[in-house]
Amino acid sequence: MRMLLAATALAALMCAAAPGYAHHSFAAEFDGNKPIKQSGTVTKVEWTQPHAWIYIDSMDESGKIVNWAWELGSPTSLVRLGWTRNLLKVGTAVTFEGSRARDGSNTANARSVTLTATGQKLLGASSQGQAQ
Amino acid sequence: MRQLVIVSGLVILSAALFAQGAGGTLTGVVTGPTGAPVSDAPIQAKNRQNGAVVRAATAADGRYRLAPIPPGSYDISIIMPCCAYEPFVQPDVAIAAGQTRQLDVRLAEGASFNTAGDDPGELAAVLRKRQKVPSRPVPRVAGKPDFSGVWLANEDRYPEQPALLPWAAAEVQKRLANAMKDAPHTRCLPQGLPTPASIGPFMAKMVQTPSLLVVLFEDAGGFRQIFMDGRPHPQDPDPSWVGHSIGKWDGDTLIIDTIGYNDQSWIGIYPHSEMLHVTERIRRPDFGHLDIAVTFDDPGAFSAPYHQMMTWDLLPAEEVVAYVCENNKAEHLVGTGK
Repeated sequence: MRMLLAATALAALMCAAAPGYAHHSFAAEFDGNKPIKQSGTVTKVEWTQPHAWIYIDSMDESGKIVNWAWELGSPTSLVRLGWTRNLLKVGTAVTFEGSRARDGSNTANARSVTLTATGQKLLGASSQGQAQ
Repeated sequence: MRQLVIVSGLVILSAALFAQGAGGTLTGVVTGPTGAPVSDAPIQAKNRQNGAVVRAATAADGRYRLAPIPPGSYDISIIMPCCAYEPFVQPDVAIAAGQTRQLDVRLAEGASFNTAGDDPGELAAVLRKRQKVPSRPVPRVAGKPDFSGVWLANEDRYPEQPALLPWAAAEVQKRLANAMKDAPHTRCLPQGLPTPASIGPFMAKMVQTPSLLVVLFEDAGGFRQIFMDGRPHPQDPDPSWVGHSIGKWDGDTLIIDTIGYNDQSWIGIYPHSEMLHVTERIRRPDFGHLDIAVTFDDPGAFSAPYHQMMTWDLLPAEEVVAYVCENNKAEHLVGTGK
């Protein structure tokens, strides 16, 4: 019981000091235990605050083309990390990695994006690792 | 600031050593969910009897060493800055005199999901790496330190836990249970007090004159005005997200006094009432840093004042940018996050 109390108290510290992240509750919306890797072609880019959304057409297991929505961080952050709004254009071939939405919709949260043409990996968990 | 914290920990420690004789050692490696070492993780051992703390930060290879630790029972904790890792706690670890104990920690994945471009720690590391902060005297305006510049906040490395009144404690449990889906931020409203969203990926810009300090913050596109012209607070201020702030100098420390908050904003995850009274003590110990000590006094939510200690980093190569939160459409709120 004491351990349980201590764990609860510490959990409350999780965001004790003013989180500046996430205009959505990622934990409520996406499931970290449902990883997804998906290749496709960009069909639409929403380069607006607080989060950029990139839509891609991707082939599912049955060979059907399905449109998926991928959520990234804010354009402000992405620009500060070296992106430009023209980096991904309609027609660009990419591979996303991230977590699927809890509600089973064709929506996911992006950890990293790789450009198929060059193999260049843009951000995500790998750059987190390098920063350390 | 970090050095100051470690030094004060050592002072407490040496006093305890004097009383109790030789201490023990706690050592180990801190890794993330993938097994990669986590550097600069703030690890703390807190004595369960007298509250004395011993603190250290992990090296580049994730190793740490807490020593000497006076014999006793300790709660070991690591609270990483928001939000790549979950907090870690191991209660009731016994340390004996002369003993070396090994405690390796694997931190669990945190709430940010490492979303590309949205992890505050990742962006802060990139930003800091590209700054060239000159070593020069602190600039002054009208005989006082000038805080003007673009700043990135760092969270309190050893966050205190507020003494919450029962209703506030129940509210925190509710927020934890629903993954904080109703945080003001999720509706494009200001998040964080006293300066909303100054933690990465956002930053804040201060503009100082002898009689006014303006703080511009990006998220939810807002500003704070701290009046330093001697005016008092209004008798009955209209409640707002940033309150009414007046500042006065105590030597080279600016003391900002703020009242008039609404009860809608969150202090991190904690709620507060309109009775909230915030005091900030701001120093600029060197050209590149601000030390900010904040006291949240709210008899409507806390049974004792709650404190935060922060260090802000100067970002000479950065600029705040226009930021209008326009794209939180219903179609983008997924499932239970709606």
